[in-house]
Amino acid sequence: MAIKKKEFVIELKNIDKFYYTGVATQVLFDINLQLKYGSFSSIVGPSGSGKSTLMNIIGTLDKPTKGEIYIDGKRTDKMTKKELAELRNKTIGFVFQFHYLLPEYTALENVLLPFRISKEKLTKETKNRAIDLLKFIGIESVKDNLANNMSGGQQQRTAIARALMNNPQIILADEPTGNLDTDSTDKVYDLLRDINEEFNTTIIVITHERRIAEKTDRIIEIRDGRIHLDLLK
Amino acid sequence: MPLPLSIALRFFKRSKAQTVLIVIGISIGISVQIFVGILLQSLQSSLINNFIGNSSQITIESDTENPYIEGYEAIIDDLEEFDELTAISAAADRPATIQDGLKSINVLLRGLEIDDADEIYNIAPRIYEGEEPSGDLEAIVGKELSDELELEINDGLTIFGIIKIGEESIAVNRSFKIVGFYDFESESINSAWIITTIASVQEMFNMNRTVTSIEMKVEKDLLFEADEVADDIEKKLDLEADNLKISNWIDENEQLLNGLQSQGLSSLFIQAFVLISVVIGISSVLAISVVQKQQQLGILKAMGISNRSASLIFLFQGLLLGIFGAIGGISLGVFFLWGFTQASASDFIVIDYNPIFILASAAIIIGASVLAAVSPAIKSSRLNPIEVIRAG
Repeated sequence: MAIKKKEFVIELKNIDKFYYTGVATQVLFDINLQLKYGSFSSIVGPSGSGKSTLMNIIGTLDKPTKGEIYIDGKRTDKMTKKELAELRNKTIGFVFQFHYLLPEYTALENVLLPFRISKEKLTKETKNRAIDLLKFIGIESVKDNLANNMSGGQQQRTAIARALMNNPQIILADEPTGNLDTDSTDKVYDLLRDINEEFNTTIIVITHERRIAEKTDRIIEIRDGRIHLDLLK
Repeated sequence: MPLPLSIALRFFKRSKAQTVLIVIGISIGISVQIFVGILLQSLQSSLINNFIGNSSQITIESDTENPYIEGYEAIIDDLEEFDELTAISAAADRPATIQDGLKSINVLLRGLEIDDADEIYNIAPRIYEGEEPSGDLEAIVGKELSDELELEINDGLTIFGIIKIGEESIAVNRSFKIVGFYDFESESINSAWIITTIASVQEMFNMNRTVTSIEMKVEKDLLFEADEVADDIEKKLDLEADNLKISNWIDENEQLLNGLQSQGLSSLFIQAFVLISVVIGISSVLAISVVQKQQQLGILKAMGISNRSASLIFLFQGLLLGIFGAIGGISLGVFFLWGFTQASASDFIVIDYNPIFILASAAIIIGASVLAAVSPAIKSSRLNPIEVIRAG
């Protein structure tokens, strides 16, 4: 069998998703989506459109009711919880709206967490890499601060550095600037752009703001559980 | 350091006040367990020492009308083969009377091999004035009796007895020299026993070389198996054939034993309930902690921490609470016991800081703490990151 060069880092085929709360509610209808390596895309849609569900499915935090998912060429909808956890740790970096740093740890320690979760031994090089990442995102000066002793913008940048720690193929950012002012928001997007260009990381931003989506190269709009629009710049 | 342990420690550090409070709570619980456990154990062994430790635990006597045991030296030789026995002592006991003016007082004249008897009755340290009887017709008298008779050292005391020869009874008497006064801390003994040498009683009552009983003491560890040791002796020495009977303290002190047993049982109950409340305390604190920390757990799971590691965080927390609680509780418990001995005037209870009991308690409490963490650990393992992340 000829080895086909992988083109897509994420591939969704015929995804249906039902929630069962007494009655079955379908939230995603036959979604087909392919995202290229190194692309910078956004998924937009009003709340209740199903975009969060889609993001959870892409992020392997949730499973589709029907359909196939391939991440970095591996089919994930049949994986065990343990395999999924390992895949997330190695392949996907998450950035959330509410920052979600561990307040018990300093900025640097938070950045190192994904590496420690991978159970590999912490070396001097790893630590230097984490410091380099903090430098890259411009918050080296607060590396020893506990999460609560940083501004919202600093926390979100730390979360981005943490998402980068294990050199993931994909960064999945869920409303990453929802809690930030305009100035910080622009800084975060510039940073994501830099990362996309510097590390060729695939970046997917989930947002309900059109203005933010327009900063990305591809806009995928979800409405009522279906892809309503797929705009490539 | 493994990540779950590091997270467990950081979670504790983050909520210091909560952690300190629960550790204090566990420590107090364990200190009660240690205090009650050790105090009652010590009380038991003090009771045993006081009431049984210094008396004959196994006794051989005649099984017929004739109280005299002939050839007792041979029996003692045989008994010396039993490793379970720590002391063997022959006694020639006869009832006797003393005249105090017109009043006559019944006493028990006990002829003992003083050196052998010391190992059973611990006589020497109980003589508060004078010395042990060593020569013929020397005797020591108990505190109450000597007070009643207003005796002093070197006083003479005439003791009357009766010898039966066939149908005839012959009255005999001897004048004993009082060489010491003892206190067995028992009024009934102090006012009844007059202790002298075995030869004095044999001579006075014309017993030749016979005695009336052979008294024995068993190894400390075998104290509660004295009945089995006695049975064994009875069989091996075929005492029945010699018209002898053997008795032991267990069969004769059923009530005391029942008391000790129910005391031990109530101590166990107290300890078990303390343990249960400690476990419930730990379990509920950790259950709350899982809820408090669910954001952190959610993000850790999104980052790929395994469910196993997520549950290990709380098992480690249980383990740590158990270890700190055990250390605090044992220190506190030992301190309470020390305080108790300082405060109590009586030296009746000698506190035995039984290290095996303390270590076993520590092991049980640590094990129970880990068990208490199982349900929170399962909750943590099952936590779904989506719910937490979307909830904000």
